[in-house]
Amino acid sequence: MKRFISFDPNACVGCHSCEVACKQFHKLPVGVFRIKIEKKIEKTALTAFDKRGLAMKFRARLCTQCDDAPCISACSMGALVRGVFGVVVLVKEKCNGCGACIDACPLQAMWLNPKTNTAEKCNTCVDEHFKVPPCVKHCMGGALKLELKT
Amino acid sequence: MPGYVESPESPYSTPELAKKYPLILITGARHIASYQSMGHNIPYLRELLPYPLLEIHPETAAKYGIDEGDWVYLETPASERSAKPRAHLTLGINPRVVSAQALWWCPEGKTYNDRAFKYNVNAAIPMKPPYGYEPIVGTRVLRGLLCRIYKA
Repeated sequence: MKRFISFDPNACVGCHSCEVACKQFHKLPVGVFRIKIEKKIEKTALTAFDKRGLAMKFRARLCTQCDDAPCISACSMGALVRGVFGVVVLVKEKCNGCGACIDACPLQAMWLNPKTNTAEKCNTCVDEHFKVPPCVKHCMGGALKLELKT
Repeated sequence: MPGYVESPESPYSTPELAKKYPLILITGARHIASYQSMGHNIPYLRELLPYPLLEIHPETAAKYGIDEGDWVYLETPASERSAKPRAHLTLGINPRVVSAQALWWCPEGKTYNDRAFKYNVNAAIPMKPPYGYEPIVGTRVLRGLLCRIYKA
Protein backbone atom coordinates (compact mmCIF):
# COMPACT_ATOMS: atom_id res chain seq x y z
CA MET A 1 0.00 0.00 0.00
CA LYS A 2 1.24 3.45 -0.90
CA ARG A 3 0.06 6.73 0.56
CA PHE A 4 0.81 9.88 -1.43
CA ILE A 5 -0.66 13.24 -2.45
CA SER A 6 -1.54 13.46 -6.13
CA PHE A 7 -1.56 16.70 -8.12
CA ASP A 8 -3.84 17.34 -11.09
CA PRO A 9 -2.34 20.20 -13.16
CA ASN A 10 -5.63 20.74 -15.01
CA ALA A 11 -7.56 21.38 -11.80
CA CYS A 12 -5.01 23.73 -10.21
CA VAL A 13 -5.99 27.41 -10.23
CA GLY A 14 -2.67 28.70 -8.88
CA CYS A 15 -3.98 30.13 -5.61
CA HIS A 16 -0.95 29.02 -3.54
CA SER A 17 -3.28 28.10 -0.63
CA CYS A 18 -1.55 24.74 -0.23
CA GLU A 19 1.82 26.40 0.31
CA VAL A 20 0.59 28.74 3.02
CA ALA A 21 -1.61 26.10 4.71
CA CYS A 22 1.28 23.60 4.79
CA LYS A 23 3.68 26.18 6.17
CA GLN A 24 1.31 27.28 8.92
CA PHE A 25 0.60 23.68 9.93
CA HIS A 26 4.26 22.63 10.04
CA LYS A 27 5.53 26.03 11.30
CA LEU A 28 8.16 26.41 8.56
CA PRO A 29 10.27 29.57 8.33
CA VAL A 30 10.16 31.95 5.39
CA GLY A 31 11.80 30.54 2.26
CA VAL A 32 11.28 26.87 3.16
CA PHE A 33 8.44 24.85 1.68
CA ARG A 34 7.16 21.31 1.57
CA ILE A 35 5.00 22.01 -1.48
CA LYS A 36 5.44 24.75 -4.04
CA ILE A 37 3.37 25.54 -7.13
CA GLU A 38 5.09 26.94 -10.19
CA LYS A 39 3.26 28.71 -12.99
CA LYS A 40 4.37 28.98 -16.58
CA ILE A 41 2.80 30.27 -19.79
CA GLU A 42 3.72 28.05 -22.71
CA LYS A 43 3.06 27.93 -26.42
CA THR A 44 0.62 25.24 -27.52
CA ALA A 45 -1.07 24.19 -30.72
CA LEU A 46 -3.67 26.57 -32.12
CA THR A 47 -7.27 25.54 -31.54
CA ALA A 48 -10.66 27.06 -32.31
CA PHE A 49 -10.94 28.37 -28.73
CA ASP A 50 -7.33 29.43 -28.35
CA LYS A 51 -6.34 31.55 -31.32
CA ARG A 52 -3.09 32.75 -29.74
CA GLY A 53 -1.88 29.26 -28.89
CA LEU A 54 -0.96 29.94 -25.27
CA ALA A 55 -1.63 27.86 -22.19
CA MET A 56 -1.00 28.46 -18.51
CA LYS A 57 0.60 25.41 -16.96
CA PHE A 58 1.06 24.55 -13.31
CA ARG A 59 3.61 22.27 -11.79
CA ALA A 60 3.79 21.15 -8.17
CA ARG A 61 7.12 20.73 -6.49
CA LEU A 62 5.78 18.00 -4.24
CA CYS A 63 7.19 14.64 -3.13
CA THR A 64 5.38 11.80 -4.90
CA GLN A 65 6.97 9.15 -2.61
CA CYS A 66 8.49 7.55 -5.71
CA ASP A 67 9.31 3.85 -5.72
CA ASP A 68 13.06 4.09 -6.43
CA ALA A 69 13.60 7.20 -4.32
CA PRO A 70 17.01 8.73 -5.20
CA CYS A 71 16.99 10.74 -1.97
CA ILE A 72 17.18 7.56 0.15
CA SER A 73 20.28 6.29 -1.64
CA ALA A 74 21.82 9.80 -1.64
CA CYS A 75 21.55 10.16 2.15
CA SER A 76 24.76 9.07 3.86
CA MET A 77 23.33 9.47 7.36
CA GLY A 78 20.40 7.08 6.84
CA ALA A 79 17.99 9.85 7.76
CA LEU A 80 15.61 9.11 4.90
CA VAL A 81 13.73 5.83 5.32
CA ARG A 82 10.75 4.12 3.75
CA GLY A 83 8.11 4.23 6.48
CA VAL A 84 4.54 3.00 6.87
CA PHE A 85 2.36 3.03 3.73
CA GLY A 86 5.46 3.43 1.57
CA VAL A 87 5.98 7.04 2.61
CA VAL A 88 9.57 8.36 2.48
CA VAL A 89 10.08 9.75 5.96
CA LEU A 90 12.81 12.09 7.09
CA VAL A 91 14.19 11.27 10.54
CA LYS A 92 15.11 14.75 11.77
CA GLU A 93 17.37 13.48 14.57
CA LYS A 94 19.70 11.77 12.07
CA CYS A 95 19.74 14.54 9.41
CA ASN A 96 22.84 16.76 9.40
CA GLY A 97 21.61 19.14 6.68
CA CYS A 98 24.25 18.25 4.07
CA GLY A 99 21.78 18.79 1.22
CA ALA A 100 22.69 15.68 -0.81
CA CYS A 101 19.04 14.62 -1.03
CA ILE A 102 18.05 18.08 -2.30
CA ASP A 103 20.47 17.72 -5.22
CA ALA A 104 19.38 14.12 -5.85
CA CYS A 105 15.63 14.81 -6.01
CA PRO A 106 14.56 14.88 -9.68
CA LEU A 107 11.36 16.79 -8.82
CA GLN A 108 13.12 19.50 -6.77
CA ALA A 109 10.67 18.67 -4.03
CA MET A 110 13.05 19.06 -1.07
CA TRP A 111 14.23 22.16 0.75
CA LEU A 112 16.83 22.92 3.40
CA ASN A 113 15.50 24.41 6.60
CA PRO A 114 18.19 26.76 7.98
CA LYS A 115 16.40 27.13 11.31
CA THR A 116 16.68 23.45 12.29
CA ASN A 117 19.50 22.64 9.79
CA THR A 118 17.57 19.69 8.39
CA ALA A 119 15.95 18.88 5.08
CA GLU A 120 12.22 19.41 4.60
CA LYS A 121 10.00 17.17 2.53
CA CYS A 122 6.37 16.13 2.26
CA ASN A 123 5.60 13.02 4.27
CA THR A 124 1.81 13.25 3.66
CA CYS A 125 1.50 14.24 7.35
CA VAL A 126 1.99 10.65 8.61
CA ASP A 127 3.66 12.08 11.71
CA GLU A 128 0.52 14.10 12.46
CA HIS A 129 -1.65 11.09 13.41
CA PHE A 130 -2.77 10.54 9.80
CA LYS A 131 -4.92 13.67 9.69
CA VAL A 132 -6.04 14.97 6.30
CA PRO A 133 -3.09 17.10 5.15
CA PRO A 134 -3.82 20.86 5.26
CA CYS A 135 -2.80 21.27 1.61
CA VAL A 136 -5.52 18.82 0.54
CA LYS A 137 -8.03 20.42 2.91
CA HIS A 138 -7.42 23.94 1.57
CA CYS A 139 -7.10 23.12 -2.15
CA MET A 140 -10.00 25.02 -3.73
CA GLY A 141 -9.60 23.62 -7.23
CA GLY A 142 -9.52 20.04 -6.03
CA ALA A 143 -6.12 19.50 -7.61
CA LEU A 144 -4.48 17.91 -4.57
CA LYS A 145 -5.86 14.60 -3.37
CA LEU A 146 -4.70 12.20 -0.72
CA GLU A 147 -4.51 8.78 -2.31
CA LEU A 148 -4.00 5.25 -1.07
CA LYS A 149 -2.87 2.89 -3.78
CA THR A 150 -2.48 -0.84 -3.37
CA MET B 1 -23.33 55.88 -27.90
CA PRO B 2 -20.41 57.20 -25.88
CA GLY B 3 -17.60 58.69 -27.93
CA TYR B 4 -13.99 57.69 -27.80
CA VAL B 5 -11.24 60.11 -26.83
CA GLU B 6 -7.68 59.07 -27.49
CA SER B 7 -5.55 59.35 -24.36
CA PRO B 8 -3.29 62.46 -24.06
CA GLU B 9 -0.30 60.41 -25.08
CA SER B 10 -0.31 57.33 -27.27
CA PRO B 11 1.41 56.12 -30.45
CA TYR B 12 -1.55 57.60 -32.37
CA SER B 13 -2.11 60.98 -30.69
CA THR B 14 1.60 61.79 -30.11
CA PRO B 15 3.64 59.84 -32.66
CA GLU B 16 6.72 62.04 -32.10
CA LEU B 17 6.78 61.29 -28.38
CA ALA B 18 6.20 57.62 -29.09
CA LYS B 19 9.56 57.42 -30.82
CA LYS B 20 11.31 58.31 -27.55
CA TYR B 21 8.88 56.39 -25.35
CA PRO B 22 7.96 53.39 -27.47
CA LEU B 23 6.06 51.20 -25.03
CA ILE B 24 2.53 51.44 -23.68
CA LEU B 25 2.23 51.12 -19.91
CA ILE B 26 -0.75 49.60 -18.18
CA THR B 27 -0.91 49.43 -14.41
CA GLY B 28 -3.35 47.58 -12.25
CA ALA B 29 -2.21 43.97 -12.42
CA ARG B 30 -2.59 42.17 -9.10
CA HIS B 31 -1.14 39.03 -7.59
CA ILE B 32 -3.15 36.45 -5.71
CA ALA B 33 -0.99 36.76 -2.59
CA SER B 34 -2.32 40.21 -1.78
CA TYR B 35 -5.68 41.94 -1.79
CA GLN B 36 -5.28 45.53 -3.02
CA SER B 37 -2.34 46.76 -0.95
CA MET B 38 -2.96 44.40 1.97
CA GLY B 39 -0.80 41.39 2.74
CA HIS B 40 2.61 42.68 1.67
CA ASN B 41 3.72 42.89 5.30
CA ILE B 42 2.76 39.26 6.10
CA PRO B 43 5.93 37.15 5.64
CA TYR B 44 4.19 33.99 4.36
CA LEU B 45 2.35 36.00 1.69
CA ARG B 46 5.28 38.25 0.88
CA GLU B 47 7.48 35.29 -0.05
CA LEU B 48 4.98 34.20 -2.71
CA LEU B 49 5.68 37.50 -4.46
CA PRO B 50 8.63 39.31 -2.85
CA TYR B 51 8.97 42.15 -5.38
CA PRO B 52 6.69 44.04 -7.78
CA LEU B 53 6.71 42.58 -11.27
CA LEU B 54 6.67 44.23 -14.68
CA GLU B 55 5.31 41.84 -17.26
CA ILE B 56 7.16 42.06 -20.57
CA HIS B 57 6.90 40.03 -23.75
CA PRO B 58 10.15 38.06 -24.36
CA GLU B 59 10.65 39.77 -27.75
CA THR B 60 10.46 43.24 -26.20
CA ALA B 61 12.72 42.20 -23.35
CA ALA B 62 15.32 40.86 -25.78
CA LYS B 63 15.33 44.23 -27.55
CA TYR B 64 16.28 45.99 -24.33
CA GLY B 65 18.60 43.26 -23.07
CA ILE B 66 16.41 42.39 -20.12
CA ASP B 67 16.28 38.94 -18.56
CA GLU B 68 13.83 37.32 -16.20
CA GLY B 69 14.20 38.79 -12.71
CA ASP B 70 16.20 41.88 -13.68
CA TRP B 71 15.47 45.17 -11.94
CA VAL B 72 14.11 47.61 -14.49
CA TYR B 73 13.70 51.39 -14.47
CA LEU B 74 10.38 52.57 -15.84
CA GLU B 75 9.89 56.16 -16.98
CA THR B 76 7.01 58.12 -18.45
CA PRO B 77 7.45 61.48 -20.27
CA ALA B 78 5.85 63.75 -17.68
CA SER B 79 6.93 62.16 -14.42
CA GLU B 80 9.79 63.39 -12.24
CA ARG B 81 10.62 60.01 -10.72
CA SER B 82 11.01 56.54 -12.16
CA ALA B 83 9.50 53.31 -10.85
CA LYS B 84 11.67 50.26 -10.26
CA PRO B 85 9.90 46.93 -10.73
CA ARG B 86 11.36 43.55 -11.55
CA ALA B 87 11.03 42.09 -15.05
CA HIS B 88 8.92 39.00 -15.60
CA LEU B 89 8.93 37.64 -19.14
CA THR B 90 5.61 36.20 -20.25
CA LEU B 91 4.04 35.29 -23.56
CA GLY B 92 0.63 36.40 -22.32
CA ILE B 93 1.05 40.07 -23.22
CA ASN B 94 1.23 42.13 -26.40
CA PRO B 95 4.84 42.98 -27.40
CA ARG B 96 4.00 46.73 -27.49
CA VAL B 97 2.66 46.75 -23.93
CA VAL B 98 4.25 46.40 -20.50
CA SER B 99 2.10 45.69 -17.46
CA ALA B 100 3.14 46.88 -14.01
CA GLN B 101 1.65 45.63 -10.77
CA ALA B 102 -0.34 48.18 -8.85
CA LEU B 103 -0.69 49.03 -5.16
CA TRP B 104 2.78 48.06 -4.02
CA TRP B 105 4.45 49.50 -0.98
CA CYS B 106 7.64 48.58 0.81
CA PRO B 107 7.02 47.22 4.33
CA GLU B 108 10.72 47.20 5.27
CA GLY B 109 11.31 50.81 4.21
CA LYS B 110 12.66 53.15 6.87
CA THR B 111 11.46 56.53 5.63
CA TYR B 112 8.02 57.56 4.40
CA ASN B 113 9.30 57.97 0.85
CA ASP B 114 10.86 54.50 0.90
CA ARG B 115 7.71 52.86 2.23
CA ALA B 116 5.41 54.64 -0.19
CA PHE B 117 7.39 54.88 -3.43
CA LYS B 118 10.27 52.39 -3.47
CA TYR B 119 8.23 49.67 -5.18
CA ASN B 120 5.21 51.73 -6.21
CA VAL B 121 4.54 52.18 -9.91
CA ASN B 122 2.73 55.43 -9.10
CA ALA B 123 6.16 57.03 -8.72
CA ALA B 124 6.37 57.00 -12.52
CA ILE B 125 2.82 58.16 -13.13
CA PRO B 126 2.39 61.91 -13.76
CA MET B 127 0.02 63.77 -11.46
CA LYS B 128 -0.37 67.19 -13.07
CA PRO B 129 -2.85 68.14 -15.84
CA PRO B 130 -3.46 67.08 -18.57
CA TYR B 131 -2.64 63.72 -17.01
CA GLY B 132 -4.61 64.36 -13.84
CA TYR B 133 -8.07 65.75 -13.19
CA GLU B 134 -9.74 64.35 -16.25
CA PRO B 135 -12.94 66.47 -16.74
CA ILE B 136 -15.64 63.85 -16.16
CA VAL B 137 -14.32 61.45 -13.54
CA GLY B 138 -11.41 63.48 -12.19
CA THR B 139 -8.98 60.61 -11.96
CA ARG B 140 -5.37 60.40 -13.03
CA VAL B 141 -4.37 58.63 -16.21
CA LEU B 142 -3.28 55.28 -14.85
CA ARG B 143 -3.44 53.17 -17.99
CA GLY B 144 -2.47 53.70 -21.58
CA LEU B 145 0.53 55.91 -20.87
CA LEU B 146 3.67 55.89 -22.94
CA CYS B 147 6.80 54.69 -21.22
CA ARG B 148 10.34 53.52 -21.72
CA ILE B 149 12.27 50.89 -19.79
CA TYR B 150 15.92 50.21 -19.26
CA LYS B 151 17.89 47.78 -17.15
CA ALA B 152 18.83 49.01 -13.70
